[in-house]
Amino acid sequence: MISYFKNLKRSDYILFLVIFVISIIMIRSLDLLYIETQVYKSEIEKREIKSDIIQATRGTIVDRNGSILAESMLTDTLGVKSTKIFFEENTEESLKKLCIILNKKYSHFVRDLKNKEKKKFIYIGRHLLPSTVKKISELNLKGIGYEKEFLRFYPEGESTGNLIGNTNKEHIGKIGYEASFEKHLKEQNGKKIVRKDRNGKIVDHISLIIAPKDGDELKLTIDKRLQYVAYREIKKQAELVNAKSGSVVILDTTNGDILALASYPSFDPNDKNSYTTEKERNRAIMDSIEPASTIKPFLIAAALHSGKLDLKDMFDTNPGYKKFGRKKYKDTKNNGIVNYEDVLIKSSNIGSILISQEFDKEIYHDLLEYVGFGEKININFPSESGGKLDHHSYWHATDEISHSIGYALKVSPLQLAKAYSIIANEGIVINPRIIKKQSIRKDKKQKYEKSFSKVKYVLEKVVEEGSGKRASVKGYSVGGKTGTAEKYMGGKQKKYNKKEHTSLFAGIIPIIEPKLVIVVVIDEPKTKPNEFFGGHISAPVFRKVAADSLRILNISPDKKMDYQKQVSTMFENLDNYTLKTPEVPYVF
Amino acid sequence: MSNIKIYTINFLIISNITLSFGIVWIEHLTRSQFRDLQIYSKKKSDLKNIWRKARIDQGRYASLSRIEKEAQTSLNMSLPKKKVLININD
Repeated sequence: MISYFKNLKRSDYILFLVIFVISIIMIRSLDLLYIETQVYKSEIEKREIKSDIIQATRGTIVDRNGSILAESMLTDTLGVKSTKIFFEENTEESLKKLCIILNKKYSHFVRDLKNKEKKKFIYIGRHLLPSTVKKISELNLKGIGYEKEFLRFYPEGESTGNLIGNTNKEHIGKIGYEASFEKHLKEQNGKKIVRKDRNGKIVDHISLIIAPKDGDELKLTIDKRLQYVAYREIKKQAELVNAKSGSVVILDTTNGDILALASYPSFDPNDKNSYTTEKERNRAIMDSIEPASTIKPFLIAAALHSGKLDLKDMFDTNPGYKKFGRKKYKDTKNNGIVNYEDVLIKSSNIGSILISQEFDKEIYHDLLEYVGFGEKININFPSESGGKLDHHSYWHATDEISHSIGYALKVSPLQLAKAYSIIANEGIVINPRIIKKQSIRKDKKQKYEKSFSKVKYVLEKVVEEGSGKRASVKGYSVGGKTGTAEKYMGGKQKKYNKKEHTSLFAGIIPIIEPKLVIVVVIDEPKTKPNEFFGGHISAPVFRKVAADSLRILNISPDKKMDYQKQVSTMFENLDNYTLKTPEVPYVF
Repeated sequence: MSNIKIYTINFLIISNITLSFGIVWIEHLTRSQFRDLQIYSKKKSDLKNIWRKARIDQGRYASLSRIEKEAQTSLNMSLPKKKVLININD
């Protein structure tokens, strides 16, 4: 044997070495194939390659100053993955503790879970606070799991409720700007290949399939402070006069920016229970109302433009009522003989009808069309109202009269605000915009310049000595017009209800160098007789909203006033009426 | 075999082996970098979430409704009467 090894050559040794190495490899292979198979198989099962979703976030909605109006945040949602493990491996005591943390009744909790046994993941607590998650983790419960879920939060609550809207459970815009800008705000979740362990935990990231894309930010021209002030005041007044609804529009006359679109009643988008279809309606954009006397400045402007009206022209409104055709029209009192300025200051219906008969209806129709009546503004809001303005060729004799006193045509409060901004800008049309990115649409042709400038001057008198006295703001020049519309009953009767009214006020402040146009509409105020007029109901809201807005926007008084008055103006709007602040569901 | 042929074969074998290692190494590097990227993305997303919550809190604390309420309830602030206002410019 020894001699055999002695006779071996070097090549034989190498051969032995190679055979030895190969044998070891073969033995290990057999071991892996037949003996350790189960161990590795279970390891593979534990670490599976799967595709996983990379969550992206829905776009934020901000106001003109970058303050949040709607924001999404990731929260933890607790669920039961296996009811069998959940009930078998957890003690009754720990489950009862869980119920206390989740504020649920134990018997109901168990019953609900057993009813949903077949489901893969049963939600038991959505959008949990981190402190709650910590308490639950301390219970060391088996069979439960967490999912990350986005929660949409609206810090301004009900003041922006029916403007911004809200999203559904799937995080898709349901109403308001959330719905109309769904494509812009919508996030695109990504996808990646990952290796997960048996518990579903990612142990390795392998490759990216689709990159996630967050939704884009939507910047509105709204100023949340002005929106709050407008909503607070309209809500306060509507509750005081027991009105059905109300709305306020604040428009920047210099660039057409919509600063506030408040509508009462509204809902808190954070509280699903506060939502009703009635409350979701933003009346400043969606409602069509007959503008009543607020149309008169446009009638006067058209009459002045026709060249058939002069300050010297006098109109006899005696004895305060007159029959035109088969219908009798009346003023609130006998205004006697009036010129066109008095017609506006005293808001004389008879005077307006007499003026309308002095010139061609086509001129009036053209002017109404020029200021945007009967045409949508296109602010990308769902169901935006375009109002109603028939072509003058369809106007009968009674229609002509109705148009002159603000009936037979319909406008939205926003359209009315736009029209008044044209008076403020003496004929220059600046289309309102609500998306900050949108370019300012300014019409270069300046029609009716002289007529509007004369009307603007008279509007100041309306507030100083006429029906709009309650709209005056100390230290500022104000111009505006009141309006009170009887509500159309519809149906076969085709009559107006003398007991139901819409009270309006549309104003420009400061009138000398216009900055803001504010329109206030209050629907069906239930007050004492003769107190439902726009000058009584809506003008005070204008005054309060205007005073606060001017202070917030740092617009200096344009009239001389003593310091005492100035300070008292600053405080006169403050009272104990405040709106509810929504609770943040997540506290640091 | 000529020397040139031997050198060429050796060079090809060495290049082949080096490239193979290179490919494996780069794949490993890419994978680990992707893993790191995912970790950073997760961190970024967590930080973004915290930032969003902070913005929400900022919005809520700065809301006029809360300021008015706090001024009246917590700070007992009330409106000054006209009589007590003094004009310091006089």
